[in-house]
Amino acid sequence: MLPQKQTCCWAGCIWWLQPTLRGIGATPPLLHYVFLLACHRPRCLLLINSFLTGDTSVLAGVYGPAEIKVSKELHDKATIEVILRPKVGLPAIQEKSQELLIRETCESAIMGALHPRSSITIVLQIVSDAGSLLACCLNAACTALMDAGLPLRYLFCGVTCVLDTDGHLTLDPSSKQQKESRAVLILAIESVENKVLTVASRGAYSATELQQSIAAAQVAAQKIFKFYRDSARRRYSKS
Amino acid sequence: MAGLELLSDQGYRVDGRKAGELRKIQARMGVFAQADGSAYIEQGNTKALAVVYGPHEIRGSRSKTLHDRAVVNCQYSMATFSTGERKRRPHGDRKSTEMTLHLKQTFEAAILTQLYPRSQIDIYVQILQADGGNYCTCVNAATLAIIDAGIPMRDYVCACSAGFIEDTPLADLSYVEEAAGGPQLALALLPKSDQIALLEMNSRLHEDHLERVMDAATKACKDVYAVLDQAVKEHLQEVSAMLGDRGMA
Amino acid sequence: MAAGFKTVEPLEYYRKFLKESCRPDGRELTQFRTTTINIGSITTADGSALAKLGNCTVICGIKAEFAAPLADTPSKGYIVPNVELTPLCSSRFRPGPPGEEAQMASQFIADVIDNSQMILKEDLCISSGKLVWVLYCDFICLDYDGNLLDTCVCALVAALRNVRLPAVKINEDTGLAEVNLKTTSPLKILKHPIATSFAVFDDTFLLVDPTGEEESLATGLLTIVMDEDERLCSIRKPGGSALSPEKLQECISRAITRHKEVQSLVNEVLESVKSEK
Repeated sequence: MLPQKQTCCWAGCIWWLQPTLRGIGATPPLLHYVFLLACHRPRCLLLINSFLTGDTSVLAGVYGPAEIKVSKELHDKATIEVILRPKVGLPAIQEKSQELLIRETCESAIMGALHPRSSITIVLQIVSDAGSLLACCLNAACTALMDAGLPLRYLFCGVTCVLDTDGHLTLDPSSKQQKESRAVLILAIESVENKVLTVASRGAYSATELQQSIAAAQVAAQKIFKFYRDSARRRYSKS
Repeated sequence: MAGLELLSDQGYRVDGRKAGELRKIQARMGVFAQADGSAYIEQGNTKALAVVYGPHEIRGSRSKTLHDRAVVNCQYSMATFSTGERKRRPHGDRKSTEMTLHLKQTFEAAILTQLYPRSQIDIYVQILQADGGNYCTCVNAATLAIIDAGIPMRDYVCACSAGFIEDTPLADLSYVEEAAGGPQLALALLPKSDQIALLEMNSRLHEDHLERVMDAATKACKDVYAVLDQAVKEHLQEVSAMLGDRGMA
Repeated sequence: MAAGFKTVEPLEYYRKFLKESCRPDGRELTQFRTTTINIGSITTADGSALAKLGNCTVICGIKAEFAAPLADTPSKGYIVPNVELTPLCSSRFRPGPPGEEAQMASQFIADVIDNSQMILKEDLCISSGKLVWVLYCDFICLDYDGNLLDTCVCALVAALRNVRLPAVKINEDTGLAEVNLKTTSPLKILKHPIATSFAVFDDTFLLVDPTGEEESLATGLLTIVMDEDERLCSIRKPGGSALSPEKLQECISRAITRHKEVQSLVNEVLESVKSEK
């Protein structure tokens, strides 16, 4: 007999506030303004809203593995859905293409074959956007998956790099820096081999600049993974 | 009267054709790999593409299933860049829906649907460039695509339009002649048995003239048939030559 | 026998080939399918091109229209790409509004146009604040067999080079635009971005220009868009197998040679079109 739906279903929910990594290269990267709070009910998290000002934050919820509509069912792996909700209004084509990118990144991390014919839904609600939004969404998605206890091949994190007109590289830009830059690169790095999982970009840049950005992102990724670990430790040591 | 003279005193039309003359038809079958059958046809400047999938099991709602014959599913669409003005909606507008219905009716009459009960045949036609006679070009393209897919038909379906200008029936109207607003007749014919699969007429035409226009359209359809038949034969020869080569090796 | 093996164990079937560094269709791993480009075949469009990579066929038609510019960019025209994946090109697409893949492709093309700065939007201005050109670039996929993005970008570059816009003057008395169809001029195209796609197989093999079948079996996809100055205009790697920076560099080198191949092909076709006239 199948266990009851409530008990067999993992659910995780994460409030991700983009850690600030500004100044990589010159000074050691700093992680501050970081809150990682987790709760099984999104409702509780909304109360924290008033604490937050300024930086980018995204609320992520993971539901599943759960039942699925027959039309969407895949017989050999889980169907992963990502829903990206903008702060105001309805999702436009921009959000749709970002959704696709996040989904495919999550798909490669989640061991979908363990949950055939079921659905895993990741809901991302943008709370405030102060730059590096897509990277923030990726981080939120990964921590939420972690919190949901879904088996993952590796962890992943998103890092945004901007290149200005002099070719100067900045990590984790604000929206102003992003707007003024010549090129923006969003990279997702995986935790096991430190390889590049996802690349998306805006603007034009050279191959050398790409390699530089990847190297910088790989360094930053280590900080983020450490942060994941610390947060998880803190969360589970409390109770 | 508009400045444009559609039929000169010497009996030539705007593009230099005689009254009963067709535009140049070029056809190619089996142009795409994905589809079960496909064909590309050019009639003068009108260019159309037809693709056939099937017969396969019913997709979408199962309630459409017919237990004694196959469902014929058509979609007619015009590329946004096919007309002088950019088309906002390539398909789904009222005119395209009407065309879709006409194509469906035409091919339900011609395909031996009773051979494939509880199945579906999809016919998709795409106009890439429009210069009059869109319906007819689509029917001709679809006929070739169905033959390419190997779906049995009663006969070829050949379609051609005809008009009536200055007391003369004209075959295979171009866009300029269509736009002049005279009577217009579209005929889809099964040429061997002289059976009509679809006949449609717009505008007004005196009953006395109908027979002459019909005769012109019928003759034009038979001319189209000769060209299509030639295209099929050439295609067959090509294919069998290729198979023959492989057989030798 | 082989056909049966392929149906039952498609992955194993591919692995057998990849071990010998070749593919079932006879190509090497770094080899593109035959690319054909046909320019200017649709006379009702202001510019058109048909691009074919093996079986994958895309036709691009460009229509220019007048429009009022946006208030915050009064001297900029705009380019609107739209990719259509109808059930005509493959049975995997359903009729109805554009699906996820079509939307993604449209967005990708729009990004390529923006990122590469191939056309200065200011060049599409007729009268600042009043009238600008809009270029509607409509792509119709006629036969879907993998590597849609490369085919679309090829068609786009070829079609844009085929565009001729009529001279337009604003009549000062009436304020209306007067179009002179006799004097037409081509677009000023500053950069020619070309896309090169790869499929990653079993996390190790890199296959250039994947077919539909290869795409569905692959563990990861990667598209690199590059212009003639070897600048990257867009990289799209949506998840899948993780790649090391060295592997990425390998792909970039292949993209550089691919750019030269396509560029010379487009030039060749344009020359032959010109000499025909």
